Amino acid sequence: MMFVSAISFVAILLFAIGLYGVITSRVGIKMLISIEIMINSAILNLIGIGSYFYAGSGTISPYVFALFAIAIGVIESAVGLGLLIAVYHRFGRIDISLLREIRW
Amino acid sequence: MYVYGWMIFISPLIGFLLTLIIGKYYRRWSGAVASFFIFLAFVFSVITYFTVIKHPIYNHYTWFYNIDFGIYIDNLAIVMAIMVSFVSLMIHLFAIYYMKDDPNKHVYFAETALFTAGMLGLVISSNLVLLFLFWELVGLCSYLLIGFWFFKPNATAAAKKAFIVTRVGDLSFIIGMSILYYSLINVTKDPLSIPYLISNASSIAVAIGKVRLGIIAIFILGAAIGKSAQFPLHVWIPDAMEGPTTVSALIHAATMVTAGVYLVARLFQVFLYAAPFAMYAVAIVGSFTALYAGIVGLVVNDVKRILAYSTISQLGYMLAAIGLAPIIGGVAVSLGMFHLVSHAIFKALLFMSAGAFLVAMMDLRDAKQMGGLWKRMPITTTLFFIGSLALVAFPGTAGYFSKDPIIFASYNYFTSSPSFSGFLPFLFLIIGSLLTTLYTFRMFFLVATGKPRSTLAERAKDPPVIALLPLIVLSIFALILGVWQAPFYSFVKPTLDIAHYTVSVPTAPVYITTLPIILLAIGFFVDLYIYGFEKWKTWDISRTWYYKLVKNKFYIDVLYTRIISERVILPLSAAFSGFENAYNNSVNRFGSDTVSTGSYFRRLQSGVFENYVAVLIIAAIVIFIVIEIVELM
Repeated sequence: MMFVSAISFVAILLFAIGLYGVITSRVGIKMLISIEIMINSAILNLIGIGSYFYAGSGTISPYVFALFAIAIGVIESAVGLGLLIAVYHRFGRIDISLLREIRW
Repeated sequence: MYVYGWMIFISPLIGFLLTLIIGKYYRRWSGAVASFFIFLAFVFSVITYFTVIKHPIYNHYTWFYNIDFGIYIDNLAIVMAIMVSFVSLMIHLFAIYYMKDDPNKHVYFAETALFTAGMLGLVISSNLVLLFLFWELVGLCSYLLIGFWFFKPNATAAAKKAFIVTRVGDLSFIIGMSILYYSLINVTKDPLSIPYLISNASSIAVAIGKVRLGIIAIFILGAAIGKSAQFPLHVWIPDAMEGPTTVSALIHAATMVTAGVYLVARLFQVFLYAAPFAMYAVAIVGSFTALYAGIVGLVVNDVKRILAYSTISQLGYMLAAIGLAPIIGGVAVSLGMFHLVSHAIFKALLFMSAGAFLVAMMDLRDAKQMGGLWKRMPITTTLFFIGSLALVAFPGTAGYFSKDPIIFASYNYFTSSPSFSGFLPFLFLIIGSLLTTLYTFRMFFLVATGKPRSTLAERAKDPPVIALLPLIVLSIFALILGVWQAPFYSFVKPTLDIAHYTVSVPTAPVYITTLPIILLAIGFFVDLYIYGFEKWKTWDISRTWYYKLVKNKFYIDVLYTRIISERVILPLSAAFSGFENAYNNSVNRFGSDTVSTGSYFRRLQSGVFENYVAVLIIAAIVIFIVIEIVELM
């Protein structure tokens, strides 16, 4: 019990750091890195749960989910980087408030 | 050799496409191209004839579900195909002269080729569904051709009238076909195949009951009434005269109106083995129409309309002949079909010579404005006279050999049937024969004799003889067709499996056989007195009630427009359009309300990124709290 709550604690800490980064930063790259931190906290959480609740049972579902999450995180950051490059080409800088006009 | 059978239909269809394509660039060749392909159809019909005399052609493929498509050419169909392609060829040849100055003549020739293709396809198709398809194609082409001079308001109105009135008959056809299909679908695989229907009619009558088969037959008769312009649905034909005269010839002689009679002849066995009321309805509708159209034809002044009413009347004779079958047997079909063929020939002749008059008269169609044309247009008027002689069944002409046997047969029908009902067809037909003489010679004397009654008539001239060649060919046939009477009867006679139904050419006592000739003489001399010596100019019966009644066509048109259209159809359509509008509005309202609601809520999308994240976090916290509360409870 102690073990899993330690890992969960680290994961929540990482998540909070990522969230703080997302809320406070205006630069796109920083936000992307913060989102990556949040995803990694979720992955860490998955691994912690897998190694605690399913230890020795032969179940590998949590690790498979973790692998999926890593893949999706990579794809998401690729898409986000592509968008940010487009923004850079358009405006010459990466400020997320520039995208305020992209609404209805 | 069934490929030649298919080519009967396919060659005019190719002609239709080629005439459109070639005629677009070489307009003066369009008539020749169309005529050539109609000629090909005629040649293929003749080639097929030599196969059909050995055995019928039946070549079919699966179409959809269990409906087949294919060709079924037996004696009846091949006679029809030869007649249609031959008369259509003659009309096409004359149309090259008649339509020579028309700017859209390539469209005209393409449409007439398609018209002929549709009729030939109708004749040879092996399935009622396929037949119905061509039936509609013929209706469409008639619509296009009647409205060919679309700049005339009368012509467009007439085209619409023809299309809508025949739709009533087509609806009847669909209903009859549907009942037939669902009655027989458990009995056989392909219940609408024509060879199946006509060879198994007696067992079908046993399987589904005579009364139900009779009801089906009545619906199919309704289709024939619509297409062949019989009594309640005849109103479209006189108006259809607004088209080019060659179109009238094509509609009235070869294609279109004969399709209804052909349908009844085609399904003759179905009518015969159905309950007796079906056949009696055929006889009564036909003979009454013969009488009715003859009466109306007496007071019409438009030359083409007189011919139109005579067409209705003669079609009545054909249907009546088929309807006499319960007494006189399978030869009834032969009688009707022989009259159909001879009528096609002399009516095409009459219409085309009337077309030659109209060219000379600058399209003035009033017979009372003509007069004295025999001296000014001798060849045309002689041809017109030959056609008139055939129409009134002058002894020796085609009409004598085709129409008088129908009257004799109706006399036999009268003597063999016990009640008064058997007397009606004979009565109607014999009076109709007198009326035929009266209106034909009235028209002829008004057109040909006396002094010209307008300056146009004074200057009228014959068309070139080369243009009249098709008419001369037709007039020769109109004179000598009677030679083939007996071979034709034995060739077309349907195969039946009851010995009772095989009676040969009808005979009658001598006072009946001479009666039509006596009536012919009476009619001729009455007309000679009134119209030949111009006594009609001093008469004034236009105020009498009987003249008004007949002149207004017994108020049938008024009944349709004033009562049925205005009192029934218009309120119904108004009610339906109100319902439709309400439905449309509700659908549109759904869409527009969705859009306006969306435009209200989309203001939540501020575009400020931090707001989104804040909402996300708050929502997540709220969800967690709710879950916790639920777990605690």
